[in-house]
Amino acid sequence: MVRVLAFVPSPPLLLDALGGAVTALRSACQQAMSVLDGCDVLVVGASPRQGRMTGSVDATPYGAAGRPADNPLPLALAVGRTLLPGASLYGVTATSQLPEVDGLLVVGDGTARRTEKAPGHLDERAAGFDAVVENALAAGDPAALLALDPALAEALLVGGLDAWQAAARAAQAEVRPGGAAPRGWTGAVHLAEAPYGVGYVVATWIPA
Amino acid sequence: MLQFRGKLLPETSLVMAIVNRTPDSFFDRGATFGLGAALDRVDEVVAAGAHIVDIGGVKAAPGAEVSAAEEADRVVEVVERVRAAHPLVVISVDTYRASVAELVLAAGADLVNDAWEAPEPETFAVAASFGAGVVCTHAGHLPPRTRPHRVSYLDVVADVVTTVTGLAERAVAAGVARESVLVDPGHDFGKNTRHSLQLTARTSDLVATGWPVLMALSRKDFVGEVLDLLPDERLEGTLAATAVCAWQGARVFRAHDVGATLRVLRMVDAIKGLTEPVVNVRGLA
Repeated sequence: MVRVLAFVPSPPLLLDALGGAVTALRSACQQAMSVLDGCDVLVVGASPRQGRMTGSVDATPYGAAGRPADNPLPLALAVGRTLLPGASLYGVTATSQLPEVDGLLVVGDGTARRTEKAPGHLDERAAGFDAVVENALAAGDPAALLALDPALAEALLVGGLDAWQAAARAAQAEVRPGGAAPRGWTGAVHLAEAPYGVGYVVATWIPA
Repeated sequence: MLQFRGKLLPETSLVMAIVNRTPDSFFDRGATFGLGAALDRVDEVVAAGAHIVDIGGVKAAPGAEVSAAEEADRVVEVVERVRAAHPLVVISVDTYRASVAELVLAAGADLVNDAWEAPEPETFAVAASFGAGVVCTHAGHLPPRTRPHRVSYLDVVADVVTTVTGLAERAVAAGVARESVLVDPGHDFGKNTRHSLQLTARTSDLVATGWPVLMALSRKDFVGEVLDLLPDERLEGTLAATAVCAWQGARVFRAHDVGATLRVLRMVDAIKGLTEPVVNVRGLA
C-alpha cells in the first residue's frame, strides 16, 4: 500500500542533456523526493501505454546531441528516471490503476497557458486550474485531484492529469482500506511556479 | 531559374524584405502598421536592393485574432500600391489563408508565403491560377499561430525534408510552376532552439533536395536564446546564421535588415565564386 508520495513536473529542461535553466526547480524536486528515502518507489508518468516500462532517457528528440536511443522512454518517465535513477517506471493513461508499492514519484505538470508568452498563450482559466491542483496537493486531497475536469485540462495543455489521478486513486484506496476508518494525508507544496508559462508544482504527501 | 509571374531573379543569393502591416509583430512592434509607413518601408527596402518584398498582415505568434477580412484590409491595398510603384519587384504576401491569397494575387502579388505548412491546401491551386509562386514551410505540424510545447523529432532535418518536399510536389501537382516554388525549414516554428540550430547546420541536406531554399532567420528566438539577447540585439547572430546557410546553398533570406543582409550575401557569393568583387585593384595596380 502506498505510504508516501512526491509530485514533480516533467519539463524536458530537467533532463541532464538539456539542463541548466531550472536549478531552483531541480533542487525543490530533490528536497521533495527525500520523503521517498528507503521506500520501494514507482515512478509514475503519462505514457502512450499503461504498465511497467523499461527504456532509456533520450534527449535527442528535443535537439540534444548524440545518437537516438533504440527504446526511448516517454518524457515524464525519462524525467523520473533522471531524478531518481534506481526506481521502477510505470506508464499511465487516463484510467490507470497502479500496482501496490511503498512510494510514488508522480511526474506531471500543470497548464501551459499561464502567460502571453506561454507555449499555449494566455488562457484566463489556467491560473485557476493550477491553483486548484496546488491546493489539492497542499491539502493532501485525492478527491480534489480526481474531480479535475479532463476536457478543461486538455484545453489548457495540462500534462500531468493522468499521473495525478492515478496517484490519487492509489492514495484514496489507502484512505479506506477495507472500510476501516479513513486515514488522511498531510500535504506540503515545496514549489509552485510558472517561470515559462507552464505550471510547475512540487509537493509531498505523507500519512497524516 | 527562379521566377514569379514572369519576373526572373538573378542566380545570386536573394533578399526578401519583411514589411509588416501589423500592430504587434515581435521586432518592429507596429512601426509600419500604417499604410503610409508600410509603403515608405517598401520604397526603402527596394532602394536598398531587396529582390522580394514580403507583406504580412497577421503576426506569427499567438495574439489578437485577425479575421480574413481584416487581414485583407491590411494587405490588399499595400499590394496594389506597391505593384503600381514598383512594377518589377517581386511581391510576396505572408498569409496562410487561401481567400487572402486570392485577393492579393488579383491585386498584383507574385508569391504566397505560407509559413504554416499549408493549412488551407487550396492555396496552391489559387496560386497556380495566377501563375504565381508559393513558399512551402515546415511548421512542426502545428496549427497556425501556435507555439511549440515540448515538440520532439526523431530527426528534425529528415522531418523537414519530407514535409517541405511533399508540400512542394503537391504545389506542382496543383499547377504551380516548379521554378516558382520555394521551401522553408521554418526556424522556430514548431521547433526549439536546438532544432533550429540543427537545421541551420544541416542546410545542405535541404539544399540537396534541389528545391530552392528560403531561410527566415531574422532576429528570431533561436538567435535570441543562443546569445541571450532581445530582438533588437540579434542582428549579428542573424547575420552569422545567414552566412552559414548561404554558404551551404540556401537561396533566399527573409530579413528585417536588408542592407546588412545583402552585404553578407554579396560577400558569401563572392567567396563561393558566384560573383566578382565590385572593385579588384589591390595588388594589381
